[in-house]
Amino acid sequence: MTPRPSPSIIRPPSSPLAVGERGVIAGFTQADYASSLMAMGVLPGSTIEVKRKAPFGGAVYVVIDEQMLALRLQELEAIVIDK
Amino acid sequence: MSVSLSATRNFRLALIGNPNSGKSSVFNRLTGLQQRVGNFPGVTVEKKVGSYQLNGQEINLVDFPGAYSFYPTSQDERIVVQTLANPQDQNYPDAVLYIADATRLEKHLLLFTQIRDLGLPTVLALNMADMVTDRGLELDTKTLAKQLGVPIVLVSSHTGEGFPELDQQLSRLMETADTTKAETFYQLSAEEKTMVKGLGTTFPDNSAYQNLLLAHHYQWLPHLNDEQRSGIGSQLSGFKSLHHQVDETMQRFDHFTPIIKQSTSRSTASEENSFSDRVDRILTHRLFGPIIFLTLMFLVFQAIYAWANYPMDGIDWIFGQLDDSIKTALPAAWYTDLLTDGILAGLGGVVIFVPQIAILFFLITLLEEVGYMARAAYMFDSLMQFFGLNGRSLVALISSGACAIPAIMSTRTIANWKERLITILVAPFISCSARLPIYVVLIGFAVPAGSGDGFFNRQGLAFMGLYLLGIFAALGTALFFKYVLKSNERSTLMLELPEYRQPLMRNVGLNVWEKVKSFVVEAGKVIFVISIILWVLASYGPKQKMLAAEEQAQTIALEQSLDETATEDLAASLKLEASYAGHMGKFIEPVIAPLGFDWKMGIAIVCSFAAREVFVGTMATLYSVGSIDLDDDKKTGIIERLAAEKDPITGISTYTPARAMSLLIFYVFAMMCMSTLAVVKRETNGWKWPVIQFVFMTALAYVASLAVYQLMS
Repeated sequence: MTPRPSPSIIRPPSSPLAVGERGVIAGFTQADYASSLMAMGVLPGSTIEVKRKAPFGGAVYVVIDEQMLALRLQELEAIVIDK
Repeated sequence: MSVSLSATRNFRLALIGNPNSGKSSVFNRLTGLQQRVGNFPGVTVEKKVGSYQLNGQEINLVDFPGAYSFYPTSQDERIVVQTLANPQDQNYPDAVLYIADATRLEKHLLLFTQIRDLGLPTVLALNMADMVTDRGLELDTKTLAKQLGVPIVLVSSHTGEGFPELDQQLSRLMETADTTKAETFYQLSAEEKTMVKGLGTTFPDNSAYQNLLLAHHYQWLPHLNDEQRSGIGSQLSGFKSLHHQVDETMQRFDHFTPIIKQSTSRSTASEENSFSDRVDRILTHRLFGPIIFLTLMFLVFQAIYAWANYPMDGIDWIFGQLDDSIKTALPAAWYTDLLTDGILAGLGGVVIFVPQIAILFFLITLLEEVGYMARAAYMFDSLMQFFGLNGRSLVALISSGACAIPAIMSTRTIANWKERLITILVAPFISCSARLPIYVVLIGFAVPAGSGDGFFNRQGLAFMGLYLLGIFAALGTALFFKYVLKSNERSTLMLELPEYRQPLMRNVGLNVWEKVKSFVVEAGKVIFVISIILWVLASYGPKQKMLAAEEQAQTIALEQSLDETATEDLAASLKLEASYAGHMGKFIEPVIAPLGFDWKMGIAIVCSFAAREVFVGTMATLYSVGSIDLDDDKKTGIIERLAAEKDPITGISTYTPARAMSLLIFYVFAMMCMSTLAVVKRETNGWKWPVIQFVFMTALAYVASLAVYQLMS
């Protein structure tokens, strides 16, 4: 395994997904969100689908590579998505 | 790398894995009842240590908090890196048993590769083997083991499959030291290499990766001293920790993802967690979700009240029998009185509430095990944010319904300090199981049982009301602190929602057993001592005053021509007032009199600062010393004792609704728990917050009780 130059995964924001929409993760807008989301398995190349909104708003229920996650809206917005 | 093991010490195996990997289930299956709970040094993160026999050798298994990476986002997660980065740490393991979810391998191996880069001998257990075929997955563990360089075992903590093989692999690891091939998963970048070389002159024993971790975490790692900290800091000009973390994480995934892909195949199309998703369509629905949650909480607390009655009657009966048989077996002497009226009365007052505590912990653990609590945190996150809290605070607040101490400890999963502090400050307002005994005893006096008592009886509703009052106090206080405290720290939710699973009764049972045991043992110890001291203080007093009390009783008896039993009762009552305990109670009476409390309640309140549940034990002891005017079969019942308590001269019942309600309100708000204050001190690193908490809670309790008593009487 040869180490490869790290990809530039810190990118400008994309338009966020609406409920029911799917996309592929391209990167993140900020390094601190990137670090903690990637540790949870939210990676560039993962598929993401926004399933539903939380009862009182503010957060969404997403499925990322078959894994269910609860994210706040600003956390979702920190994920850069290719639709 | 070899496993060096001194003959005097047991083999230490660390159990590590991501949250939701089923780590605790594996721990429970391996150790069963052979486990004890402690704390990691310096912090209150719960440390479970279990012992486990393998080939006649004892293994100490240490259960670490679930973590995703060596780059922690919460206090809880820090424990893993802080222990493994320091070989001198008292919990530093001889080897690691890493648990990963077999159905989610590509998400669960990041931390594993980091541990391997530290060179720790590791066995990889792939849990949830029973789900692998259901998901249409096929795992080639041989290839995987070869590529990852560690022994791999497929296990299921639900069915028990794979555990014999796990034993084999673990004993091989213990016998032959490390059989695993060292594999480097992360190649340090040129910049990192230069920097780590510099640190190597200060820390020559450390591996390159250990020094890299020092560079990332030197500011908080507890084993470093200030000198080392500034030394490391001076060498790190321009080191952007976050960017290096991201690059390292990316490279690790790039390394192991192809390995997993090679050894995994999918025969059928995955169902895409359709079951959990379908359930969540209802359970986290924008309207039904919160309704279902509130209904569940209502049922939980109704269940406690309804189900616990039968076992409680049983325990009451047993203590009554014990009391009788001791009194018949032993001669009437001071030590018989001490044993029955002192110790037995005090302990009975505690043991009787075990059913309620067990039911509460049982239901809360069940909800947690099924995976519902994470959904609750998700649903209420924005509402919690309105109050300056986090969705995770909800889980802590619900646990507070059992006990504030584990609740406060569980706030370590909240990364944001302000949200965490507010959760800690308001959690004790939620009525804990130690208040249950008090509520149960007093509610009967405050709210007389009405007609039409069924499932939704009036006392049950009053009970619910007390809980709601605690919740409102918690939220109101949280709102206050939200505006008072300032913080610019990032706040996150980022919560994994685990698949719904049938709960493992072993996990639930062990958790309930552990909590009940610690309640009985810890509370029992305190109550035992306090019961004895109280009995002495209540039975003896200044000689002259005691004699005077006796004489006064005789005089009144003559005047009112009382019969023999009534005279004895009156004498006992007056003597209690003349005793040392009576003097102490009288001393504080002026302060609490406006709340409607007499000196007996004063003594009980002061004693209950050791722990709330002592209140009932204290009352039981005080009243068994004072009153004998009871039917034989009701001798030990604390409720009957209070009901029989009358003013010795006027004959009016002491426990009027106003007085009982005032006491209830006092206990809803008051910070009557030394242990909680001690934990808050430890969690907030100082006396500032526990003192603030104690003052505002007690002040609120005093004012509220005053208002209630003055309005009702």
